Amino acid sequence: MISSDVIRGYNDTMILSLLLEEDSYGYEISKSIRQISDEKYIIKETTLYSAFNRLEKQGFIRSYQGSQTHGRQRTYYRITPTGIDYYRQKCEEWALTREVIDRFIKEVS
Amino acid sequence: METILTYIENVFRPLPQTAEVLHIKNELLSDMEAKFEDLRVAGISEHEATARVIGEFGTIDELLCELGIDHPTDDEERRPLVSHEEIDEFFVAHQKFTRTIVWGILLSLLGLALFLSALVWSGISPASPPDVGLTDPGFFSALIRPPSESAHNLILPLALFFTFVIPAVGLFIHAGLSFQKYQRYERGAFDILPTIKCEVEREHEVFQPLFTSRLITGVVLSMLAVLIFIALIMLNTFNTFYVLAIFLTLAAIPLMLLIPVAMKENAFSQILRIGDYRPQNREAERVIGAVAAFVFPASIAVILILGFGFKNWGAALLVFPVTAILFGGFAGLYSVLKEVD
Repeated sequence: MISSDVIRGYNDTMILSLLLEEDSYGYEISKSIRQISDEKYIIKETTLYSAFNRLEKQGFIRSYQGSQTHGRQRTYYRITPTGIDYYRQKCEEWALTREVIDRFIKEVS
Repeated sequence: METILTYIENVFRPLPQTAEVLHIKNELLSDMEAKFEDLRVAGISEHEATARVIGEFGTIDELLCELGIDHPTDDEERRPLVSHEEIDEFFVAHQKFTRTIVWGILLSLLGLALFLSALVWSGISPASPPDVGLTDPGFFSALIRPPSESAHNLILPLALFFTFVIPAVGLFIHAGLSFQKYQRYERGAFDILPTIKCEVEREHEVFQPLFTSRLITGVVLSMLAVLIFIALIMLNTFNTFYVLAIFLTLAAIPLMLLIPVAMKENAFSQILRIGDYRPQNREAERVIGAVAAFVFPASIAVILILGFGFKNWGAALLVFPVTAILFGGFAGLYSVLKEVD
């Protein structure tokens, strides 16, 4: 399990990457993150909704009421063009971060 | 699922019920419900599924921060529930606080008594000729105009005074600082379970007889000290400074009896929210406290001016008891009037 502290800056990246595939809602996104990470990372509910709130306020995603499925009205999220730009930036940032941090990762005998 | 619903209700209850908050609450609920159902379908026990769903909820603070809502713990309405251990801890800390204060008062009284006695030993006397006024080489001018003999004579009294009073001040500060974290009891910012409250009430009842007997003994001894004081003043055979020193020493005895029990009673009042700590009395307490903060230092100033300035120690020494009685009357009257309102 990855601690939420370490991964904090990249929750947005994960969510946006999933929304790039297709529009989705809270539970589906959290399930996907769990599956894709092989259960190594489980996003907390409050973390997820904080991220939705922040991303929507910044105009990176937009929410809309989905059709009723299984008796539940779901709020769906869609990525916006600025959201796609932001996602690209985050990917570049990660590549750089990984490159830098990798230089400090070595075997300790 | 019942447990999850209750959990969410509890988490959201203290929050402002805005459309935004309610929307997020509903989203969270349906997510958690779906997660719970999936876990149950996967053959996980209800207990385990509930624990997992709640475990993956996170912290509400994270959301509040994002939504720009102030944390509701600052709110007077949400008071922390205190446990049995915390109450016990409070009483132990309060007792320690009292002991430190008592030592501080003892040292201060001793310092004052020794200061007054040393004034006499050093040849400074309030019984100086009546024509010695502020402008004459009397007490005050001696202070301002060193090097004169009187100023030199003040060294021993002042040295004695500070030797005792500085540690006393240290004790007061130490007591105040270490007791600071228990202030919420004084402010009434806590809740107590009825069962614990009942136990404290029983302890309070057991304490009552001791409190009453100490109170009576203390008051009788204080009156005795005042009587001895007046008698000695009237006799006029002893130096007034000596008489004052004797009075301070005598007054220490009833104070030692009264302060610990009065403080303990005060601790009970804070926990049980009775007497001065009833919510409606707190306002009156504040006003009386503010008046006291002005009246008593002012009376001390008057005593010093009358005594040292005008050499009228007889009148000066009457100021304090008169102030105390007038203030007591005011405090009582104010509380009664407040109650009538």
